Amino acid sequence: MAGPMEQFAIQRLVPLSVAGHDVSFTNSALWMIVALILVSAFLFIGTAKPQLVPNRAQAAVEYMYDFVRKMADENIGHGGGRAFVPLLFSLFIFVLGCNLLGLLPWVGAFTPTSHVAVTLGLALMVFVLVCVVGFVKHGLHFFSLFWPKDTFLPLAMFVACIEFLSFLSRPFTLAIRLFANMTAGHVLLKVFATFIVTLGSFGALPYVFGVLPLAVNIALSALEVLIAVVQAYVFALLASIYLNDAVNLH
Amino acid sequence: MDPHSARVIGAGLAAMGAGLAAIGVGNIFGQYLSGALRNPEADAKMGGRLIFGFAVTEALGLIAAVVALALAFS
Repeated sequence: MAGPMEQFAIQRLVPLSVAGHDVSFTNSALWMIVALILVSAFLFIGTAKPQLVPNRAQAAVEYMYDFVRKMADENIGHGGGRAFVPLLFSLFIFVLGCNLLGLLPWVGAFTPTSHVAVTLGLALMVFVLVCVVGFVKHGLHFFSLFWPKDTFLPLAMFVACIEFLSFLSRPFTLAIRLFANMTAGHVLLKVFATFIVTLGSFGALPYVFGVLPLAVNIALSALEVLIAVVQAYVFALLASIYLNDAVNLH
Repeated sequence: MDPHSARVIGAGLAAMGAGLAAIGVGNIFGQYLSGALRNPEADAKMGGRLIFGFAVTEALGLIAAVVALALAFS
């Protein structure tokens, strides 16, 4: 019988190989493409016939765009946010789509962002962008980000080392936060699902005791939808905060 | 002690970190609620910071949970 961790197994759907390297089309890639198609459909339908007084689809797209634009403007000070809105919007809506798709029942859904490979790829992209933007804009003065101002010199050197290490740990905490939330949530859903079957197959009184874990599972599914949205928002929010560090060296 | 038993005991010890993170998360929401009680106008402004503080605290608890899961299931 399958355990709670089997839902995260990668299956090769179309085995491909390039120069000895395995580049198969996996279920992870398939569900990322499904997320991309759904996001594109949402955006195309919303902006198909733009009117001054928006209809429902257009209002939804405008709400999401305003949300990301306001987040960029608030967190990246001095007007630097406008240049990064496309990246932040793409990150937010792609991570949101990937997180939410894993919650679909019956279709054998897979959460692409429950693998640290996917989330580390996204987090490293943000980190490399932060470094590139920082060095292009400020040159070597970028390293003044780690130096605390007006402090006693030995203490400042110590704090600078700690700040530098915490800066290097940013892509990893960003990746682990997203993948751990998705993995732990989905494992919890599967574990309660096994409780439903175990308690519901009580011989003398079938189905009755299975109702309680079912109710808990319904509540947990609602919580997982909330966590999916919150984690996508926090990923984009942290990306904008790190970009603010690069653009306006606090 | 054979490796499998050690692994399962380690998983149980690691999962205690999730309980400690729960104290931190409760602290965040408790401070937000007492602040919203004293100054209801700041409620809308601080909502975004609440979600952010919750997520970074929750991440630490989930790191402990993932270590426990990794030990328990392999």
